[in-house]
Amino acid sequence: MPAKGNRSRGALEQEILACLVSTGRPMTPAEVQAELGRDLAYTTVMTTLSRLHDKRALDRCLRGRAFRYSLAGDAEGVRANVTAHQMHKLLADGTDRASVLTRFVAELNPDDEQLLAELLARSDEQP
Amino acid sequence: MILFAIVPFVFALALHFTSAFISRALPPAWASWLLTVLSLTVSVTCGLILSAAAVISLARLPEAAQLGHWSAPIIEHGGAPPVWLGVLATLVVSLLLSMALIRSLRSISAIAAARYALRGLEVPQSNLVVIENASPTAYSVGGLHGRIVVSTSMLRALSAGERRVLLAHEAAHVRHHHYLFVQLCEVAAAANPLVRASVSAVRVSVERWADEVAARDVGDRALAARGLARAALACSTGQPMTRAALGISDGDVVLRVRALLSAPPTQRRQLAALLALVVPLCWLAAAVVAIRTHGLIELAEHAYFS
Repeated sequence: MPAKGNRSRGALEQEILACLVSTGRPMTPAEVQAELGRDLAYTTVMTTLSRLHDKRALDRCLRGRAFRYSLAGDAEGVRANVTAHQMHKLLADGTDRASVLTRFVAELNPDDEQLLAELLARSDEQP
Repeated sequence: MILFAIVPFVFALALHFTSAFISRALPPAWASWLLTVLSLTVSVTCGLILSAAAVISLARLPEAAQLGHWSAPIIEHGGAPPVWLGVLATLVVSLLLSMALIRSLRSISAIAAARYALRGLEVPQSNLVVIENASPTAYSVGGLHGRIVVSTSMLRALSAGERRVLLAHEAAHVRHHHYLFVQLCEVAAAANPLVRASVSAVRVSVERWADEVAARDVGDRALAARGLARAALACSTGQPMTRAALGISDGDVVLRVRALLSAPPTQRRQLAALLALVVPLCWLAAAVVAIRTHGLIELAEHAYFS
């Protein structure tokens, strides 16, 4: 099914972008593969990285024998901060306007916080 | 006729008391669909019946009868409600209609505003927006082409597997157009305050829906639960938002984590089918009222000319 193929390809692209953002430094395909930490072929990671580069989503530079990839256009950071501010205002704007955004998680009260922390601690013990 | 006329109102009241139950008892995708379709149906059919009541009770006014060439006494004998009720119904219907219209326009403008704020910030050829931000946050923005927004600090707070959960969750919101379910319920509630409870119920349902999709996509319910819990904790240690955007009570994250830690939701086909039955019943009631109203006016017209 091509639609599903596209979907999982898109998901992997996002996963790799998120990975590069979270480490915050240029990475080689091997490093990305290791960081993703799941059953992915090296070639899959490499193909996805170079596809993202073709789409101008990633910059790359040759270091030694492998390319290192990083998120393109970090100069955009300033504008992104402005956006963050605008979106915060939107979120804080009351139910009406904020309702078009679906946030991943809402705020927690202290009891819930402790409960979740315990749940996490328990599940971290038995991976 | 009265019996038929009150059917949608009875169901509106019933929906008020059962919305939360529906969102808990059914698989989240089914619950989201049912809640949305039910609240729209109930809201529209209540409006139709109010309009019919307005028309028929104002039709007995001699001035209206004169203008429309029908016989006022026939309408009166046909069991039309008193005129004051007609005036009241007219006022209520126009008020609710304008509320629904205002709510729709607000939804559209809010989506436009959010999309405008994000213009050109997507990672090229994707729907992902990464923002440099001190406070961990992640959300999806509704619209024709939805966007996923995550802050760098949120991504850094999560492990690789947990990041997959978060991305899969937000992608599910976008792919299944969850904002539409919420916004349609909002409009239905604006047009009929009796169904207001369905709004928060549908919000919970679409979150659970996205959680279940994420759990399926990563193939690990425990990982999905962990991702959700970690993200929630990251948010609470960061700068708090001034207000919960979704209006979800604080306990909901814990409920969602618990749901992911237990078995996938059971499909209760019979319960879903039973609830779905309300839709044709409401439309049937509205149709009967409309046909009777029309029939009465036709009768009065014949009487006028004979």
